[in-house]
Amino acid sequence: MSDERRDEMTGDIAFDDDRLLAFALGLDDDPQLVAAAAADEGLRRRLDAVRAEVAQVGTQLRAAAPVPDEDYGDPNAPRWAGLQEFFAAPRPAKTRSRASRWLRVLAPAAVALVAVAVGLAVINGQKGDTVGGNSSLPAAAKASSEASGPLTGAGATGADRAADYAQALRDQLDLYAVVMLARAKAVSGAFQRFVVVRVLKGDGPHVVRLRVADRPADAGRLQLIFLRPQLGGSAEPSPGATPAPLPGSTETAGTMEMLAAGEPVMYSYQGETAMTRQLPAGTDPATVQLP
Amino acid sequence: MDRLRREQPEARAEFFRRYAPQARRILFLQGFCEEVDDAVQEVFIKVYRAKIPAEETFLAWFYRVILNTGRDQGRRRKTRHGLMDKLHQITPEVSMDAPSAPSDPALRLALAGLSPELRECVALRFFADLPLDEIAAAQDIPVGTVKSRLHGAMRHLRQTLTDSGFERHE
Repeated sequence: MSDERRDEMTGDIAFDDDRLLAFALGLDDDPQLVAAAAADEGLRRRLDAVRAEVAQVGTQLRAAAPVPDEDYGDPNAPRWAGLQEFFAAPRPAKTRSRASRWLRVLAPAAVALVAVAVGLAVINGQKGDTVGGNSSLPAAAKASSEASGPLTGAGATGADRAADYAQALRDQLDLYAVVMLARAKAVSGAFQRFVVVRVLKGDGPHVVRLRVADRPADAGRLQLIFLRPQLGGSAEPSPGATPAPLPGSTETAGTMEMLAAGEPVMYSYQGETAMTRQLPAGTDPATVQLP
Repeated sequence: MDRLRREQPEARAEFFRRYAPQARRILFLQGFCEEVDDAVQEVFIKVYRAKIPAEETFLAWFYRVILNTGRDQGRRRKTRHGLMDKLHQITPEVSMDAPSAPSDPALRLALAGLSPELRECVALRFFADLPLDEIAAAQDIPVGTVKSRLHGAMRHLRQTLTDSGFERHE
């Protein structure tokens, strides 16, 4: 950067602005310039001026990026909810890395399988049944919409179907390590925040920020949030297995209907698949129980 | 470093306390990130999940993670804004989340005139106070290129700010 040029008239070494700038920035040691500046008052003044300009530009640049709050680096601040797992007790590294790699591949497929299995169960249930339905509804939503009528009468067919819905939900609950009840905030960019009202299963942060993969949930509405897909869960419902017995009371049927009402919406949470289900408007959080 | 490699929570928290503000300022200057906190969080998630490199190359690697995250954010924002533009044409009432920027127009103009590479170089020099060789390692370029980038960036900034009569507000 300190290419030597000479004044055409005098033959002296020319120190242009670029050379002074390179020296002022610390890009070049340039002993020749140092020696010349020591002997030449004018050159020294020019060099000081360039240094001052560099310092001023630096100050202006630093002012361009606002200095964060004093507690910005506080790892316990709510804005860093997504990092809390790293500040808690560590998990075994090998198991975790291997598992997370598989989870990223398997979790979406497992969720899709559950949805297909529930859909098939509903279609099978419809064959011997006179109750009609809208075939375009998602399986779980259809299940919930059909569950309420027959169960009120506690009929045998209705009870079986409610057991199927319960089984489908249990599969989803098994698939995820953390299930929470949370209220959706407005979507911001690619993310949507959820303020956790109750943790129904596992441990979770107070505020969850999910990356929207599908579409955002309605702001202000209560959601069931499923986080941390796990390999050990019974992701695939076994068609031949007898559904777990479900009490035929109207109270349980109401809870099941409420939990299965929302269409599953996919998100991403710290690189893993996450899911939400919207609960009906006006749902009292205190009444929500997992089957 | 060893404690960080062994995934000790206190070491991670300590590292976060020390470097989060600096990461924020680099990311901010890199792309005037509207979602700069999200970007900072993404940086540390990547660091905590990664295999920590040897101590002598750690800082260069860490700054490379910051720069790459900023570049990814910039690309995502560009895509999102493209989509929002299209939506805006269909439904004029849709509001765009325009990126924030330094409030002074002269400084904004000067920084906007820099290429991303030059802006990154300036950020690492003035916000991270990295020596030339570490900037070179973080940007994966020769030291000579760092010198040339810094020189070019400063010349451009000086000129633009002088032309616009910029004065810093204390």
